[in-house]
Amino acid sequence: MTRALSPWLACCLAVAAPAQNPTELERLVRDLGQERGDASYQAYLELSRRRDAAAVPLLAKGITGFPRMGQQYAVYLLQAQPFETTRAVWTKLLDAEAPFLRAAAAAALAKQNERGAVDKLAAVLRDAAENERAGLVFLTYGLDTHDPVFAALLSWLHPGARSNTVVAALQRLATIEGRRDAVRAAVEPLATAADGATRAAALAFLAGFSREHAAALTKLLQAEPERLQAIRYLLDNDHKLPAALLEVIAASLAKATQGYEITQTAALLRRQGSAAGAAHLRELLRHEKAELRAAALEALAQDGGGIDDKDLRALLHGDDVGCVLTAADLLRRRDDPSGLEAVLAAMPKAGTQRLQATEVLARFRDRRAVAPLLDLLDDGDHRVRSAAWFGLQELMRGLFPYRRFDFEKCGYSPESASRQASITTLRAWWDATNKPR
Amino acid sequence: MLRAAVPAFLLAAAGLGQAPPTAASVTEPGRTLARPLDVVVGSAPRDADERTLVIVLDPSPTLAGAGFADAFATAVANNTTALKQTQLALLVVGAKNAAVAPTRNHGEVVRAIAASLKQPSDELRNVYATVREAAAVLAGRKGDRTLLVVALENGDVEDEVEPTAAALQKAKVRVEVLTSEATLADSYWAAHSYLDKPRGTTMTGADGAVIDLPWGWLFQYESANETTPAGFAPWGYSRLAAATGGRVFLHATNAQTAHRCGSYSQCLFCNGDHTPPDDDWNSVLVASVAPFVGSRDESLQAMAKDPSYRAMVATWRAAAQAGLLRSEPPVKITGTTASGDRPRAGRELHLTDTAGFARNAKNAEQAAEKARQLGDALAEELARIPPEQTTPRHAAAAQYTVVMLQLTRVNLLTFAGWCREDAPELFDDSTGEPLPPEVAAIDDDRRPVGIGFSNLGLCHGVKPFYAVELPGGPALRAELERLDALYLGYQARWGRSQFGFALRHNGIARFWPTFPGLAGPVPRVRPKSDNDPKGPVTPRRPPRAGGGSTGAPSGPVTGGGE
Repeated sequence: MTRALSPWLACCLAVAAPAQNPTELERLVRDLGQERGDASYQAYLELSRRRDAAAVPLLAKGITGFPRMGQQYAVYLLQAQPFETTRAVWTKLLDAEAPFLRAAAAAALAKQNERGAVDKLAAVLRDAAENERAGLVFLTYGLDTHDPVFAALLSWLHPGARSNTVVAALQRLATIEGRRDAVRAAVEPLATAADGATRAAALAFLAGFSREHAAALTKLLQAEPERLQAIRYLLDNDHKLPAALLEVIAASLAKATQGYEITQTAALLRRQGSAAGAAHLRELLRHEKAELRAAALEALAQDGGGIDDKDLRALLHGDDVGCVLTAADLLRRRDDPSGLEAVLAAMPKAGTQRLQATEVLARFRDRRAVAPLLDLLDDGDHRVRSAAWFGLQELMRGLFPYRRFDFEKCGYSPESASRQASITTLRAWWDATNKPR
Repeated sequence: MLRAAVPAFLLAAAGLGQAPPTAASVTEPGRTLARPLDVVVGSAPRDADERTLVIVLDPSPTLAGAGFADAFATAVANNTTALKQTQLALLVVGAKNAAVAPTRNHGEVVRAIAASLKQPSDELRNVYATVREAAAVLAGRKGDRTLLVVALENGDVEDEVEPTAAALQKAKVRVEVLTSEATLADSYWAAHSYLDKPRGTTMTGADGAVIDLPWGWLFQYESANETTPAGFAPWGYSRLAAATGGRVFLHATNAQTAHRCGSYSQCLFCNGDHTPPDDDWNSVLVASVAPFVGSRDESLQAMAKDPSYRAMVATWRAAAQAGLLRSEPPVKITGTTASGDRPRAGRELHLTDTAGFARNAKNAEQAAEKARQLGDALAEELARIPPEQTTPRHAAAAQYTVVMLQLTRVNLLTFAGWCREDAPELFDDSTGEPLPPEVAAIDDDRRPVGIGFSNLGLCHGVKPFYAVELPGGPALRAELERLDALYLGYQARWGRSQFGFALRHNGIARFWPTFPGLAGPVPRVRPKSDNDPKGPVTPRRPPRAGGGSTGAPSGPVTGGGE
């Protein structure tokens, strides 16, 4: 106990010293605890990028007072640190008031096989309020499936459970080998639940086991296709689904509003060996939203025969910059670099798609990509500059495997306002190097 | 479909006379657990009123993780009618005596399997000894006698295969095997013969009766023979099925199917998003290059009659003696007969043992010349062999050898170029600091003691390397272009098979000086196999795990690893 407390006290003392004159790290941790989601998220991104161990005592001090989202970000940040650095924090959090923090602490300790942690985690899960449960499930991933944790998650499956609790628990339980019969028995009563979302989740889990449940789900999705989004992962398993259900799933592609919906649904159909989505995907190639067109094109390309190299090469000559970029990228992945010219030609007219264009360009391991990427280091959009900078590093390492680089040495930062000197340095190196040896 | 395709290939090789059957004739399509269990458990007795089905279970962690206990329980529950005339029994590998004697109380076997898999073991274990016990159990039974061997691991622990097959034949037992995919011409145990093994066993594991693809190429850190999924089971398992009229079912999980450009090599050309055109294997092509599953002697005799095989073996031996390989062929060929030979190591060139760069460069150039001569001679000889006089497998292996000799030549010339141009500069105090962001390639002021290397994977082909700065200058470019032509020709013919996969898992070597320090052994990567209809995926071989394949609807489309 004493040993565990010492680092904790040291952490607290370390925090106490600079309190009067907040450091950048302290400011970020304080922002993490802001009620404003955007400020909290930005602070999380920056802290995540820094991955600074010095943040651990600051997080330890503030985490219990953070709003729920801030607590979750803080848990992510603590999880990213070496366990020895955070052990004392987790141990302390076992006594926190918030169930989320107690569960996070117990899970972190259980992953290190700390005695009693599994039982503590199971107890928190079992006693968690209904509206807390779905948000706790992710903590159990990466943990060996112990009986008490399994039993606690199973206990959440009852007809009165909230649908998001059922979905989250089933997603987790479905990954556990050798327990499917127990899960199936617990889920079957939910197949007739009054709540449509809960019923859809239960039927999605059961669809692979019985034709009756698959037929019931088919009917439900025909009437309420929007239910698919929440339950798609539950359908994605080793079980073969009936053709009628796959047809209904494929039809949902036409109603997609986000690219990822197309990507995920097409992947599900592909793993089921179904070609039912091809016609809908081709239709989406004419959709007004570029994001959807690109996702459909990519999904078609993933299917053997969905779209062949000849069709992709034809798209390189089109006016749709998004399609040109996606087609070029897909061809590159298939070992055909012929899209590079089209990407280089599309760069000046990429407009709002500059970020995608930069990312696609940087993935070509070709010397012709270097000069445009050097230009993009001074782009007005910091995301484009970052993509160009990281792409350039990968490219240079790939083209020059016998050279060693220290990119910090040239002083470039995508966030910095004064970039010209470092870009000049990089150009000088490239001009000196880009000639036959 | 495979069964139908095989005779055509054998007829094409009419010049080889009466060849033994190949693994394609016994290997069933798919990579799931459900189908094989439905097929085997749900079979009605053949020409009899009764049936005894003995399950030999190797309770490995992989099998437990695959959910075999649940799958078996489901198969029993779904086939109650067929099982009315069946008595089930269970023997567990590594445990003495039958866990469950033949019984009509099928639930007893289901429970015993579940109990066994609750305490899985990843030790090397002798499955064949338990199979012989099972043959004895079945010998006295009435009616149809079937043995289901469920062993995702331990296909490499071989023990008296022919006597085991004979005992099964005498007892009129048909063997059905549920296992995971082997590695193509697996050389792991040949390269690690010093490792412990169960008493009385021989460690093998290849898909064929002998290793029939050269391994241990100079400057290849990863042996493709240790990571390429074979599309078929280890030879011993296929042999038991073939000798008794049974079948082999392969298993793999979907988690093993993601493409990787190499197991140990670095990919310069992608960040893991590669979707190579040859990733989908062609099941007919895969079947055409299946290994023989006759007895080891029968297989060797059939192989020795194949002119491509003979030419390849002769080149393999010559290359090993020239130091281009660290293995010699495991067979002796006299005329058109062959016999097994004790393992012999190839000559060691000691190119990387010292930092004597000038001498190493000279020796490498001599070896590169030898690689060219051997490759050209083998290519000429293969060009003279009529296609009908050789089997696709041995033609693929011989042509692989030609390409590998050119790749080895490229690596030797790269090495020589590095020793002559790059390495001296690394230790030349008069060389100024490079322009930023470049820094000195080494920051160690000690004297180098040797040369290390890694591989830059060929998964994307040879052409992308034209843009890469490599030692060797314009002369190397010409050799790369020659390699590219050979590589493309090979992949056009064999790309969608295990042999194309193997070639892609070699690489261009990258060199650096080494300094006194510590080194440790690299863990073995096991073959993968995935049952995805998309075909091969990079194999991975964590210790005693991995294996398996996702069941494609059309045969051993395999693929390797996770």
